[in-house]
Amino acid sequence: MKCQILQFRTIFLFILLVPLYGQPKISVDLGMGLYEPKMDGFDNNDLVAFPTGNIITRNILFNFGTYYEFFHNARIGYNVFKSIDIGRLEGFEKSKPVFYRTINYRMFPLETFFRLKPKVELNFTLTPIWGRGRITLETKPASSEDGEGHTITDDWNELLNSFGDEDPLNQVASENGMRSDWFGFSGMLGYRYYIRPWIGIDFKAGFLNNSYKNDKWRFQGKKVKGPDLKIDKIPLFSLKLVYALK
Amino acid sequence: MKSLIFSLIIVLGYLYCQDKQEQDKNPCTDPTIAYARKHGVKALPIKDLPRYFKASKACEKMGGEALIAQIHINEYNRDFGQSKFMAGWTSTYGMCVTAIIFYFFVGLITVKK
Repeated sequence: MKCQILQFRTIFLFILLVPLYGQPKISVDLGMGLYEPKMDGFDNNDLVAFPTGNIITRNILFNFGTYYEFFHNARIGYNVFKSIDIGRLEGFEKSKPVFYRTINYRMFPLETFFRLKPKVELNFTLTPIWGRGRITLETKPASSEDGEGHTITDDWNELLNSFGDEDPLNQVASENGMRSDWFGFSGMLGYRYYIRPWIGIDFKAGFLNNSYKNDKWRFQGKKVKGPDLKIDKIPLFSLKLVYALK
Repeated sequence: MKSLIFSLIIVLGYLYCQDKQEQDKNPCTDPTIAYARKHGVKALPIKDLPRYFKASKACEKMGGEALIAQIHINEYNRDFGQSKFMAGWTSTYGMCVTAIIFYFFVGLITVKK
């Protein structure tokens, strides 16, 4: 019994001392990614003229992440790559709604690493992805010259029709965004150079694989067809600035 | 009179209770710098970081570049020592990631649709 108490005290002391003497390492990073998806649903749409794609709206991803180093050679974290597109839609019968499109690749990476030199690190990342696409229309029918009788439902039906959806909506409530969720995974190899012990520049190269399907979109509880996107098996590159908080 | 003396004691007590803090002649002796020397900058609490950065800048201006550089070198070496080698499962994981990425890019180049 005495021995057990001693054992318990030692273990308890160890548990208490580990957080005191261990240095939990939390870091945040900010950067951007580069990839090349095929967005045929927007770029080759015959019925609606979406905003012309450029490198910022098609190839650049804005990246934010935070990591916790739980081991000398491993860290886990949360990382988001975000693609944004904003513009006015042309080709609608009576109005020119403002169109917002975001695609978020939310990652929960597990990263292992080692230091090649005191300032150079190589890292290896595998991560599941929870992807989410969102399309919003801001319709102003009254602003069109002949906007009478034209409703937000008509605009949505025209948009969905352009994606190949042949089941028109009856009524649209005030919340007017359609969205889709999917899963995927990604793997990346990274090279990090520390310019200060707590600041590093991280370059990663890898791939992105998403199980996106254009018929899995939802609009106010109803299944609708979304744009045709090819975002599976694409190479991904990222460059970011890492700041170790503690 | 009694109350006047009493209130004077209280007021003067407030006025003289705190000596004006002596201006640090040497910013390199700042406690945050001493702590960073011992444990590294990353071990400093977040609230002390601005103070450390201010003190280290002032210290560098006063000719303490070598001291600040030494803090950085020590921290690099500490991190290097800790993660120089991959321990346990991390190397297997690293190899798996490398293999997956390698086969992905090989597939991307060789497979024709």
